[in-house]
Amino acid sequence: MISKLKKMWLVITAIIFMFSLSVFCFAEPQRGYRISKYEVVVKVAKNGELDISEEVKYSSLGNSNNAVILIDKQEDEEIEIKSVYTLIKGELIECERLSAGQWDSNVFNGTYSVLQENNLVRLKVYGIFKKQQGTVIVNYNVKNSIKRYGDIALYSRNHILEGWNGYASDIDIEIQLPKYTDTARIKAFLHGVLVGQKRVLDGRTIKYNIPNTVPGEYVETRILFPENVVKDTPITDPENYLDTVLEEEKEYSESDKSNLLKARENAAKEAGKRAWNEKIQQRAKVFSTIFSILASLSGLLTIIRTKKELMKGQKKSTFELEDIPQVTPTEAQLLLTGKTGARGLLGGLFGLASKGFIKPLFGSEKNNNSLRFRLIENQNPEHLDGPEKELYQLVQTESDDLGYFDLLKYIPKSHETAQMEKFKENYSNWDNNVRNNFSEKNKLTTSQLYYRNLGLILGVTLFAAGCIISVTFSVLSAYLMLPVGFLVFWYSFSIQRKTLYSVERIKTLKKLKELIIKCNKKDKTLPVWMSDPMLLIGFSVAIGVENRLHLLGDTFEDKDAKSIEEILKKALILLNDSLSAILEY
Amino acid sequence: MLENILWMLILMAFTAIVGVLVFKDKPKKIRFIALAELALIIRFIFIFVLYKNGTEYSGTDGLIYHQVAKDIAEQLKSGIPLWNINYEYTWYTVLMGIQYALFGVNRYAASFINSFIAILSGYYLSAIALDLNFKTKRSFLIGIIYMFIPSMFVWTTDTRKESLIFFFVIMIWYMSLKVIKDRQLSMIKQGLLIVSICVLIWLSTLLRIYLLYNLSGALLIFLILYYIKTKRKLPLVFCIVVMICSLVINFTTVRENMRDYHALSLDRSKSGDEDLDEEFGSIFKTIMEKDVASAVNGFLTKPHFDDVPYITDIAANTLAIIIVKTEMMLWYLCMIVSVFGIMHAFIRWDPYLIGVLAFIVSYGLINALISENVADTYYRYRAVITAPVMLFADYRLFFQKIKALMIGSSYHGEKL
Repeated sequence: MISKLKKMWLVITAIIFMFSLSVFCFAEPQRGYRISKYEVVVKVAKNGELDISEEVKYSSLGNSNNAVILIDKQEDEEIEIKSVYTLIKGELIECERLSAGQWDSNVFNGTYSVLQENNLVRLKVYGIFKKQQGTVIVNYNVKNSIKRYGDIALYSRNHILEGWNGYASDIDIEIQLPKYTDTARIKAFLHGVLVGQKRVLDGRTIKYNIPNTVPGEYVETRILFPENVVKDTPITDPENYLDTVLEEEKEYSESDKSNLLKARENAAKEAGKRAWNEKIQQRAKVFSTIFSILASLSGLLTIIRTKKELMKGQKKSTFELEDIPQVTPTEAQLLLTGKTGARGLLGGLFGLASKGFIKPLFGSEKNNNSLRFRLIENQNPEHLDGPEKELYQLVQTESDDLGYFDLLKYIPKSHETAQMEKFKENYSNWDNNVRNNFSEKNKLTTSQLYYRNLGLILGVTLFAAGCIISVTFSVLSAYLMLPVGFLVFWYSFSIQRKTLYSVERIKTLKKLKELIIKCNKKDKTLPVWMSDPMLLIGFSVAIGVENRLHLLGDTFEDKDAKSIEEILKKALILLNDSLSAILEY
Repeated sequence: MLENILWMLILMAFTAIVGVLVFKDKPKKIRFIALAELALIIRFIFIFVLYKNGTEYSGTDGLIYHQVAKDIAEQLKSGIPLWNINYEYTWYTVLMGIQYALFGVNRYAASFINSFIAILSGYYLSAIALDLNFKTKRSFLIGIIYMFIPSMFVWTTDTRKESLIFFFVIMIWYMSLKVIKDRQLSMIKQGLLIVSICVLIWLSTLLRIYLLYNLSGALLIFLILYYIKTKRKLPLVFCIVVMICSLVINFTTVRENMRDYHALSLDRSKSGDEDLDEEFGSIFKTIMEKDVASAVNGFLTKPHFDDVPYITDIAANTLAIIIVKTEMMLWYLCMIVSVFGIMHAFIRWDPYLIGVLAFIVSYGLINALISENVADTYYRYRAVITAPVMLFADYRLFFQKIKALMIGSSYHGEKL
């Protein structure tokens, strides 16, 4: 129950976080459609049809190669697009209509397509609109638009749709009736905007001028005129309708127009918000920059502080070349590389051999090398440490009746799925044992643990912040937190290899490696323990210098050393291959 | 209509067959394949809606490619051999042209094929996840999410090259993993796979010129890291082959096509008012003028919630606006979760996922710099990295690891 609640809270927090980001980080100065000039001429025919010409000049289209114009379509109306023009290279080009399944024309020389939706027609014009500006002229017919009643005829049309969500300026609408009539009998109404002019110019022409609209506003023109002006129009309803319309208009006029006020208020707020956002964004950028730099510095300081903590209170002991046998070859490999792997395993077997528990037998025949280990009888493994004991038990289990363990045969091939699984299990258990054993020897103090955990948390936080802040606030310096976060995390993650215990041993092991690489047969400065061939092979394998055995004094005969090197090489390749196959994915 | 129905039925049958072949040993594969079929059917329906009025819901590239493909079909029918075909814009039009020459001009059929390819991409994305030893449930979920992402329906149903690009990218990564992971492959099969990868890199370069650098660069990182980790010879050989192949492509295909390439959609037609040299110059000018941090923001996060209602193709369509906003919210969530997936990949020092990450980062950076600063353009170009990002979208493994490390004091670094 608690975990479910936690998850729910996490999801809610994430959603709130993302939405809050979108509020102040994602705002931009201008977006969406902006119409800079909108001229409409409507010619009303006697039969009630409308012949409309719209010239739309966009200042922002939201796209480079198409523009969408929404045309109002009321119930019973039929809209037919007659022609569409677009301005290409200063020339008006008549666009060609694309119809269903027919895509023949050269699109960007000017084409358009028409989508009939429930209450609108979506006209999409394809052209080349430089810097997202363009001019489109649309001529279309609307049937069944004029409603004719007993006393009046009614023209009602939305020129800017309520859901359009754009900004339009300089809107001129001219409606021409089919014939002259008494000016007093023409009544023009304008809905959807708070500011706008309407004029009945003469007995035939009505003009509207609206300076601008904002999202949420719309432009609806409504004109009453004598029904005999459109005498060829079918009668919608023989009843008188004037009073109804006047009543409706009175209602509209007396309404609080709160939605329009709200739209203006929202637009003002939007503009204010954009300005505020820009300001905040600038501040956020400055803040994020400072924060990123400080956070990155704090990460680096944490590393320094942790390093100090690791060195604090520990007496510098001396771990010299002679002391190397105090660690096992497996531990040596773990210290040097942070992993056990093939070298750790093979080195571990030779470590056991040096302690007299097993004896290696190198078989070298043409194309048939073998590496077997024979169990030495009557050995008590009690004094071996955990991983060694486990490795010894593994050899015991896997050896044949005569007590021979053939390593190269034991390593499973990729198609031997069951053996691979078994090998994986054995290896993983042994690997965990090695690491636990190492942790026991190399225990962190409470304050070291505190700094490790701090480093882990800080590292993750810095890395995540580096990803999120750099993208969200578009701050370049925030990317600095990525490498720093990763560094802090990695340092803390591998802290056990940075303790005094580890550092001294790693240093000495590296010294040993260098010594072996540079040595020659006459060199007498090698530590005494290197005269033990098993220990020498074990450590050579662990530190990666098994190919130098032939140079190591009198420990091996040249011929023996070469063949041992060959066998070890083959064993390492096989082991490596097998381990990478079972452990990598 | 009968022809279209036949196309749809055949492709649905292929979807089922490929699904069974790819996931033959996996449990719950039937449910997964059924969902893939559903995704395909939805795409088919969407195609009919898309072309209902001869209009383009998703931009205009698809229409241009269709027209070029028709011309290519004519050339092929008139006896011009394939290698002498004259085509514009992208090699994808040649593929469409071949289809038109063989089966007749039918934009619906070309879109059906694109939809099918998108479903194949979903299959192989799941196959990658399975090969990475993700749980079966999680692997199938990744594929299903990919197939049902709303914007993917748009990008992969129209006659655009996107569907093929996504497929090639996913296939290159799938085959690379196969070469490295599947130890039972014979040398011949390994060789064939490596050659196929090189061919796909070349084809991807023909589709989007800079994909050569993203793909081969990321593959090199993967293979070198893998070699360092395991010392196997195979990744080294693979790496050298990819490197040689990339150099050849660079000095042949890229140089040849560079002049025709213009990612910024300032002018996409012959009738434009700028010639190509000017446009080429304008691309570099635009890149130099860009604010890198803002461009990366735009590429990864656009369309922002406030932009969505202003995307021309969905303006005033409330349902579409809600869908896009929801998708964007989930994308942001996916990116945040992926941060921890990325860290986990680093902790494991997983060469494959680090390689994939290199691809995501390099592709993101190039596109952030060259794409037009328009929400829907970023939206479409970003779709290529959607699938790879989903491989990282799991925070649990990372936190489990950290928790285990912090609670127990022992050191459990890498296992190999």
